[in-house]
Amino acid sequence: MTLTRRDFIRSVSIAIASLVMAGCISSGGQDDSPQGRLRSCWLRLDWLARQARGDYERGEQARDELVAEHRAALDDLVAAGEVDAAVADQVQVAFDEAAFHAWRSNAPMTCYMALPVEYGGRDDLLQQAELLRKAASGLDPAVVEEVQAAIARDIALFEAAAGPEAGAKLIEQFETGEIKASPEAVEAARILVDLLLRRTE
Amino acid sequence: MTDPRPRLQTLIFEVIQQCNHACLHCYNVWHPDAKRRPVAYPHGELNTAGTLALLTKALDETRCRHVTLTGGEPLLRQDLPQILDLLHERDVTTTIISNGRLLDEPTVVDLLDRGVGLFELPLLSHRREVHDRLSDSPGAFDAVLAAMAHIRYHRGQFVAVFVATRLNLPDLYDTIKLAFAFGSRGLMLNRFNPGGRGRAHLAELLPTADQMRQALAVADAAAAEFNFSISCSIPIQPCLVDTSAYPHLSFGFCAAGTDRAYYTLDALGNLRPCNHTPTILGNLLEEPFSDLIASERMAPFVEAVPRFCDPCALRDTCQGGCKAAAQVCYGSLTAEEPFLHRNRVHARPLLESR
Repeated sequence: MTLTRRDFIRSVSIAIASLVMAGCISSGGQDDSPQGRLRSCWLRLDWLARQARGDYERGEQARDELVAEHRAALDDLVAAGEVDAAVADQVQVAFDEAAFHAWRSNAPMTCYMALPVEYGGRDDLLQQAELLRKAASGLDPAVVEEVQAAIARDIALFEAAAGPEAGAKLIEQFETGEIKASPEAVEAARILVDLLLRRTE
Repeated sequence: MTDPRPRLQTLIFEVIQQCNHACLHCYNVWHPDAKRRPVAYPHGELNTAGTLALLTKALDETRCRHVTLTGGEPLLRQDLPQILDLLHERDVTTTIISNGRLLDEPTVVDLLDRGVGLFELPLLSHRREVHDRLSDSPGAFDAVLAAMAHIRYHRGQFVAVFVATRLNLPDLYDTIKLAFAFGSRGLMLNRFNPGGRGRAHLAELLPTADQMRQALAVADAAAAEFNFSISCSIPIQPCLVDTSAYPHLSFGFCAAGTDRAYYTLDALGNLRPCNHTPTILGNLLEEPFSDLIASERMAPFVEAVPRFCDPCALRDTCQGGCKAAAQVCYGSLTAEEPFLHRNRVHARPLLESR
């Protein structure tokens, strides 16, 4: 299955949010320009995560606050003619998704809300494979094989992502249409990468 | 300007009452009572156009970005794809609660393409015979594992649901391991909460507080061992079980009346405070959503707490557990729900000062 148009900007935003929450992006100091305010919203995702931990309402308030600030900064950029309105909407979609991810990953779980997206690391996958091997004897072999194939694929993905070809592979997937995205979403992703990752270099 | 529409974390939509399993623990409010007498709850569902109009009205009148589709078995609904497409167009994330029986590979791929973000699937034991017995449906175990495999293979997400009963509690650890091995994103460890068909099996299924304590210890250790999210959403009264002893688990209490409430819309448009109660607040086709959940209408449900809990410091948080279970088992929202009623002699006395 390929990524849908909607999934593209969501994936970009969650990847950036994960970098922020892992402390991989430096703050770069005070900047009150619209770009600086935009950047500040992203960099405060770890603050949002802390607010959400153990207190649903406090986390909700923090998320609303950040989303509104982000929209206001974008509106200023659109008014100044620096960002196209349709692209700005995609940047906002990205932030909404990132904020939701940061909040949902930390707010207390409830029975009917989607769980945090916790992607297991390579060690988790190896542990899953081992447990599956032990449990397999009483199960339908075709079902076990399907899960084993998924685990093997995910391990290979982890290894590929760590290798020197990872970036080239992503570009290839985009160029061959495996990853679909609208021009506005691609531009929004470019803006975000420029805004958040370029300054880290 | 502030949006005046009520904010909902999630809306539960019971798209169909029919089911292809007959789980002993099923809490669906339209099932016969403990003596197998029919209940007065309305039966039936709207046609496709009516259903889409109903859902549109619900989304228009609220700020809701997540809908959980359940039933009955939602996969039995022929127009489920149209319902999902509407939710996708409205940028609403979707969870499907299913028994997994109809989740063959093409169906899983189709549902993922239509934006289903999470499947909640039962895994009641690592043993086929126990899962099938609790589901009262031969083949249920193999079907749900196949569904999990398809979802995993196609990069979807699912969470396993373990309904803790006397019959399957000894299997908890191995079941957690199996869920983890299949790629479940977490486990919902829900103690059996009697209602619906489950009322007829109350004595057979309801665990004691001591059994729950042992199960929670097992789950807590497994959550740490596998770095695995385990949540207990059906309330467990702190006077019966000291939940602070299980730091790797998360616990929830009744959220009725808050923006975390599980407002439940049935297939005819009737709105309820949650999916465990038969209390109908009104019909969304006839009244605005905000009127249906107005505080004066919700008050009898929200404010109901058993008298036993009056002296307790945690009265307003715990609320005595699940008042809907008290209502359907003993006829009153202020009765002590079965888990409390049957275990209260062992209640911890440390919560007496308010």
